[in-house]
Amino acid sequence: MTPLIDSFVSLLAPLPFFFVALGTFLGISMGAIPGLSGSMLITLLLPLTYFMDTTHAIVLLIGIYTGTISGGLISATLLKIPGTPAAVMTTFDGFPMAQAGNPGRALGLGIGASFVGGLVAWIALATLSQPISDLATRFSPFDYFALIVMALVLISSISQGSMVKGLLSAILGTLFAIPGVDPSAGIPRVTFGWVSLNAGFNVLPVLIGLFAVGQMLTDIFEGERKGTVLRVNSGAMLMRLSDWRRQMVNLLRSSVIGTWIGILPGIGANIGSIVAYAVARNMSKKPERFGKGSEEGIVASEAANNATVSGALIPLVAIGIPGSVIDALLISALMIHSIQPGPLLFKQNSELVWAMISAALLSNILMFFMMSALVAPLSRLMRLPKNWLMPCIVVFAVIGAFAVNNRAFDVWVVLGFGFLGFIMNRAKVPLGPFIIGFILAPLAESKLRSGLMTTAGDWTPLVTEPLPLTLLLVSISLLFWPAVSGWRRRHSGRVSKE
Amino acid sequence: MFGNQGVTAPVSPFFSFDAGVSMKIRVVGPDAVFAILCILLAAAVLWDLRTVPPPVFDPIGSAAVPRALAWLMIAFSLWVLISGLIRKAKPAEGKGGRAQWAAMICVAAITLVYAVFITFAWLDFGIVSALYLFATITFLERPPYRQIPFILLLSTGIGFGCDHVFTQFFFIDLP
Repeated sequence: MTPLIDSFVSLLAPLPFFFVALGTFLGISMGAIPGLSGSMLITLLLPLTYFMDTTHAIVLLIGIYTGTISGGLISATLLKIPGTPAAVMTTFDGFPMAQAGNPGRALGLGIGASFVGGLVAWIALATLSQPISDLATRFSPFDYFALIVMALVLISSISQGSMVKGLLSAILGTLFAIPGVDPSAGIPRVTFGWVSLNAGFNVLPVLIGLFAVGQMLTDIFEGERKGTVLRVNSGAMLMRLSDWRRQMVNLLRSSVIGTWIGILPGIGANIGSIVAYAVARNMSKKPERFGKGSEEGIVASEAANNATVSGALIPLVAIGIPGSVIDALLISALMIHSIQPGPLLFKQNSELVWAMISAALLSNILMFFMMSALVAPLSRLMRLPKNWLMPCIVVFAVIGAFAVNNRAFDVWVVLGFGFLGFIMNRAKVPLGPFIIGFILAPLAESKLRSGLMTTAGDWTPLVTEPLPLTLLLVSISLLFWPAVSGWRRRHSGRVSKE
Repeated sequence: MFGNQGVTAPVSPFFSFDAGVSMKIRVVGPDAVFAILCILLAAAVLWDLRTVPPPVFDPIGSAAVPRALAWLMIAFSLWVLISGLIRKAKPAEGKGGRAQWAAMICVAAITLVYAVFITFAWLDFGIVSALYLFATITFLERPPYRQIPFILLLSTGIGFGCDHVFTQFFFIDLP
């Protein structure tokens, strides 16, 4: 407990506090503007973190992560367009309540629920991370390999759209991590004789291209969605004591669901809020109110999506597996600062890990106060024309690409991956599996090869050792579950017709 | 080339197992473009891996993992391609009309020109960024004439401001 208290107190010093507050504010602002995501903001800011102290850089990014998930609530409630995918379920009840003349109440419920969701998940983060990390230090290379395979299959199977596209996206990301000199053998592979590719694709230009430029091209293609922004006053925003009492069970249940879904590798806040919303509707005494301005709906969605933030940090700090796409970006940030994510992170960089955990709590508290006080001015951000913002994003993307190695090659990598991101968005291929595949591929390959070296090329430990066998069986079940459930649905439909 | 428009076509005898369901074949949809791109990429990877020597001490060597991934990618891409061909066409979503295509291609072209100027350092980063911002915002926004000086001012401010801040304070060696 002492290192946690020490690190929290050290975050209250002016400079770290400033970076957490700045990150949270930027995240809320970005989350409030539909179409601009936290992933985009983090990828654009990653190059600048080169020049920052590691702890300051990471706490800034965690602040953005918390802020961006929370900020999506504002446009979901006042504009009926979710600022982030995580706020989709909030639009169903937040906007009708706001339209009925209670925008302050809708936002107040969402802000309160976000705070509680973040707090419950943070307790899990602070208590579970170290034991899981200790357990993970005993993992064999095959255990690790099987865990990464399961993470990739899991994110591919849960991603929006078809599972085959999710898997294809994961494989594509993994394949793009291959070019360069093979670190085990010192042989260049998949470089096509191109010297610039000997070091492989740097993670930053790839991320900037996919998230910033790809999204810009998609937005231009789809045209700007405009809506009427409902007005809101900052007064009467806080939840009343009776609200807390009435919503307590729903709040805790949704927070636990969000935390659990956040822990599962690769699954983001949107799935957490969808599941919590569905459960809240099933358990509600007034399910007919859902979709028409239900308080329970807003609370469930917002508590769960904020809970996924700290929940998703658990596998990141404990075993180096990203719990969501933004966590994959945080792993990149750690690598930029020459810190190897994984189970040894707690042992080798314990101060940084405790600072990350404390930053999750501090940003959650700051989010609560900022959102409560600044909703009215922040809602004006939604009127910013994206046609003005998007070209500026490209200029920042180019600067970010240049910051990596000071070479024009990375600018072309940004544009190439931007175009790939556009095609993937058009084909409704999820980007999450791509990013997680790209970041985890080198680790997966090195673990597999070192495992095989220790067993002299014997693959059987993958199916004879209990942990890899279990993880691979889970992966296979996840792969075949959609086909089996589809067959069962068709079969039961046929039986009922007969 | 890759819109959502489906083209009605007679049911192929090859797909006669699903007779009775009127099928529309999507000639080249976004799925097909993505799948073909993946197949081409996997083929290029497999072609390049021919030059990787066989392993000496390592049981599987440097080529095994990328080769397996490339074959998996071909398999999944063919799945996406074939399932896209036999799927019933969905109605067009209303997004991505000719105007949007034109806008996207023009912005992509302006961005490519911007990248070329940066690559060859033909102009100072501040100037080329200001020009890029002005051209793109004006093209996308189609503003009334009275707004153009404001856009020019904003583009110049951001272009030169970024150049100054990032070269002087962050020491990034911009062209």
